[in-house]
Amino acid sequence: MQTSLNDSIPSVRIEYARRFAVNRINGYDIITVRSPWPGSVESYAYILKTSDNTNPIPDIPGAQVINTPVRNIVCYSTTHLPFLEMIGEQEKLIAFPTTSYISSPVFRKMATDGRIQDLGPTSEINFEKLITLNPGLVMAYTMGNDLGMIQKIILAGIPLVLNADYLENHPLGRAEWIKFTGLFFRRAELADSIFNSIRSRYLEYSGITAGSTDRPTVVTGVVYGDTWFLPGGRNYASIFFRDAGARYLWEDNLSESILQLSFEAVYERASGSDYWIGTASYETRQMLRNADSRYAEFKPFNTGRVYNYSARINPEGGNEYFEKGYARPDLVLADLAAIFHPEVMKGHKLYFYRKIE
Amino acid sequence: MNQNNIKFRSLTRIRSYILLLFLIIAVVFVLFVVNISLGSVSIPPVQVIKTLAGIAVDNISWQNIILQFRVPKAITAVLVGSGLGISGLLMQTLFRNPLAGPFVLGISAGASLGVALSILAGMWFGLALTQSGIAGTWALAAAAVAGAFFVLVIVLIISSRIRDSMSLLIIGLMMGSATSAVVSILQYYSRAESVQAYLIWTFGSLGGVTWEELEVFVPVILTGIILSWLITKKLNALLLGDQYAESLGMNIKKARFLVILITSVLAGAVTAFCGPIAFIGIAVPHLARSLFRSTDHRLLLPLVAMTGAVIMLGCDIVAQVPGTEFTLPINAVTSVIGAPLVIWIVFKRQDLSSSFS
Repeated sequence: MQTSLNDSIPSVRIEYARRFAVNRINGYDIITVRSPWPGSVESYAYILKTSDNTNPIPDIPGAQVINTPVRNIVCYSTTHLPFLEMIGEQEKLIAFPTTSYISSPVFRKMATDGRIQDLGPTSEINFEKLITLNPGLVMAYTMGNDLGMIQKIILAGIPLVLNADYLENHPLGRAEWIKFTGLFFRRAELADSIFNSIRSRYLEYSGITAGSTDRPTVVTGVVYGDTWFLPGGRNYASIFFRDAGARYLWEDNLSESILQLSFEAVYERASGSDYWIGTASYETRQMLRNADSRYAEFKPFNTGRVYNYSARINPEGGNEYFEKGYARPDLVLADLAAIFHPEVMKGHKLYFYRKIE
Repeated sequence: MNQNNIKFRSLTRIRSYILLLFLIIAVVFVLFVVNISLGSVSIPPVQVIKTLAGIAVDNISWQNIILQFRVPKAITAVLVGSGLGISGLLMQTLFRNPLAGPFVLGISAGASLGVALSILAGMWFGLALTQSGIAGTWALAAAAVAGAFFVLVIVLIISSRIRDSMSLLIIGLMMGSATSAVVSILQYYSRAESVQAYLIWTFGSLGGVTWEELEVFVPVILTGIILSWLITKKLNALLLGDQYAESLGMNIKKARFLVILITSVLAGAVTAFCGPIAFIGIAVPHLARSLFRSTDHRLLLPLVAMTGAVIMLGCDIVAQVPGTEFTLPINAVTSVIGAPLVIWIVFKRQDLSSSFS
């Protein structure tokens, strides 16, 4: 008999993440991942099989059955890695595309020791090497352009799940994907408690800044070509600014994605802003001025209130912010709150951010 | 024989030419002011005129937008249109081929290679540039010039060894393919952010040129234009064929060298500051010839320069999408306008090659 997910009850409470849900049927956890790439309408179901459960496996069309706990794992994105470390399963990572992008000292050490195989560039995974490794699970993400390769890996009998953390709009929604990773290792409770402590810290910081009457204005990003790329008002980054007690100058915008504005439009609205957060690859004010002398007309440039997320960059160019920032929104928020409201975040030492001199 | 010597022209023809030229120059002025008046930020025309006349306006932000953003961009548009138009004319004459453009010799491919090395393989090549004190836009411009110069030297060496201009055309195309292949390989092994940055460069940009950069850009383009004016007689002879030019006592290799050098200076400088701007170089000479049929470069050159300025100012107005905060990449606009323009001219003229025999 076919089973409908609608008849079942959620077995793991998901508060902020919008792209996955967990239900239990016959004692099996079933994870549903919705719209895992931009513009997709597909959803994917994963049935988590355990050796101690003798009930019949629910018959869900198109669902993949995955044996848990998985014996080992291959991840596609650096954002998937901190969760492994947090739930204590770092030793299970056996391969990664382009290991030089990894920032975490633990995984870097494992890669140098040859315990993590390099699968080549993400755009073209080394399929034969992956098949030979025969991993217990591949945790992939897709932008929708490599579905053929993903299908090929599944057809080769390798369990592959799609992770859509990067599409979550709330910072805590991205961090909540620790529950997704935890389930495959049967570490759901641990993942849940780690998430809860991250959430409490996040809410604590946003509560502190909410008490501040002063909301400094903030602009973010730089010009590429003729276009200044800025997060929309409903974007992940915009929510961070709001919760850190700042007024992002495009917070009224309704877009969840990235805005592409002209330099003059940004200049008109933001040249008088109090803070400038996120200057991409520009690490000094001199570099900014050399790139475009008009950056020097922005108020924060002259008041010294320019910060970049580049405090932790590894020798090969990997930025820890892009790896760990998803998993630890509490750390990102603490940094931003300390930048905007040093008076209420006394003694906080910036972790991801640094001041641009 | 269709050898139009200016001495035998009827006076009315000259008169209509001068009238046409003045008309186009007038259009350049009008479009220049329109270009400055329109943009993402709406500024009342009175304020624009006041600012241009040097009268202080109430809104300092508007004044900065006009003087720091729009005027340099409009000047850049004029330089790009004229520079690419003339280099397209030079190449069409050298190869006596209506499909030739400023980039047939692989100049833009060479510049792209330089930029790709700087952005994509930035670790070693870009670092050298950063350490030598040139960073940001200057680094890209320097990389583009280095790449274009590299290809240019090879083409010049080859051109001194071979007699036939057509062989040179094939070599130019092959150089272009070879460098594009290297760029593809670099892209394949690069991070998504670097590939994105490179792609944005290929979209072209007029707004990135500031007053500082104009101090270099203006003299370089003016030098190229003056040099091309000095060789108009040689160009007229080249149009009649290599053998004919030689029979007139002209040193064909020296003439070819000069034409290639001037084209490289013009197209190379434009590519260095604005990226590879598509279609203008091919379309503008045809458009100018359709306005006034002539094979005399003393007449064609000023016409091409001014027509180029008109087209580029017009394309930039479209690219700004006036009234919105959004912009279009300039290359998309030049291609969308340029391609149908060439098709229309081909239909109207039926036989383009008649200008080349």
